[in-house]
Amino acid sequence: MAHDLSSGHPHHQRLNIMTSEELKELEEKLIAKERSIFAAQKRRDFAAVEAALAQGFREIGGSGHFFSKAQVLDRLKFVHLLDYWLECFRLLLIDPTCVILTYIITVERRYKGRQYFNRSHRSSIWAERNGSWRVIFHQATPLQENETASTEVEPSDAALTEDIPFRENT
Amino acid sequence: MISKELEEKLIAKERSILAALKRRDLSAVATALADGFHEIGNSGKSYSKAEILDALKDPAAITDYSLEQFRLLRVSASCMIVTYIATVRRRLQGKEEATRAYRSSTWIEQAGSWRMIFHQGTPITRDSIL
Repeated sequence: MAHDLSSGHPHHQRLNIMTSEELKELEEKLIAKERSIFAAQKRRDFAAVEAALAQGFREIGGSGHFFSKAQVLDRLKFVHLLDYWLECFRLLLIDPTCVILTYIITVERRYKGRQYFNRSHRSSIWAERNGSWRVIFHQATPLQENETASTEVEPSDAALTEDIPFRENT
Repeated sequence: MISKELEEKLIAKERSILAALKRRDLSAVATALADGFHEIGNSGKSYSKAEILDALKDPAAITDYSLEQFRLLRVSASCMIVTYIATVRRRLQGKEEATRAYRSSTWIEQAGSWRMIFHQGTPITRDSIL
């Protein structure tokens, strides 16, 4: 999916210090980095996951619970990532040192002997500090059953305007 | 690292958006959102600023809401993330429904004004692992 930075885009105008080639390069780099976190998780390389997360990293998981970096790293030991597919990447450039990357992930995981399969819409906020890009914040929102297209418009579900009713986890 | 003043300002701005949504003040919501804003709603679908504003023209009435557990995360001097739990009550086709979701808003400072550039909501469920 195309990123949000057409030539008429206000952020693009404000950030005209970046050429479209530089932007494309940054997009490819961050998508590769995002993928590498899942690859590290799958091969249970916790040090690589930890290195990709910024100091002070926080996450809102797909269950709507808040986790610190330490809690996320601890959770990795109990949840086995078996397989994953990433798609529909979108890049929202805030400034040359801060980018929001959103995408849809389908994951297959094992926890306490049970297998779970789900799809969620994710966001990662990447920040460059001292020359290294790390994720400072991550959030997951499960996609409801039968939701396929991320671009499908039904504004009545937007969190800012209309939340879906509270539901028990399935 | 985050000044008390900035923290209070962003929380007040976050609250003012909810207040504007409740009274259906389209222009106040439009002003608070940066150009290029988009959100991932509680259903996991994504919406542009135009879609959010369009949806506001015909909303289910927010009857009540409460925001709690505010936390701020500094990304840079001009970029902050605000997280909180929102419980929102709405009347949908005569029926009142409540939603509890963990939300995040990314705020950026542009020409001296803080505006929201990204928002995401995740419904809170009992399963805290997956």
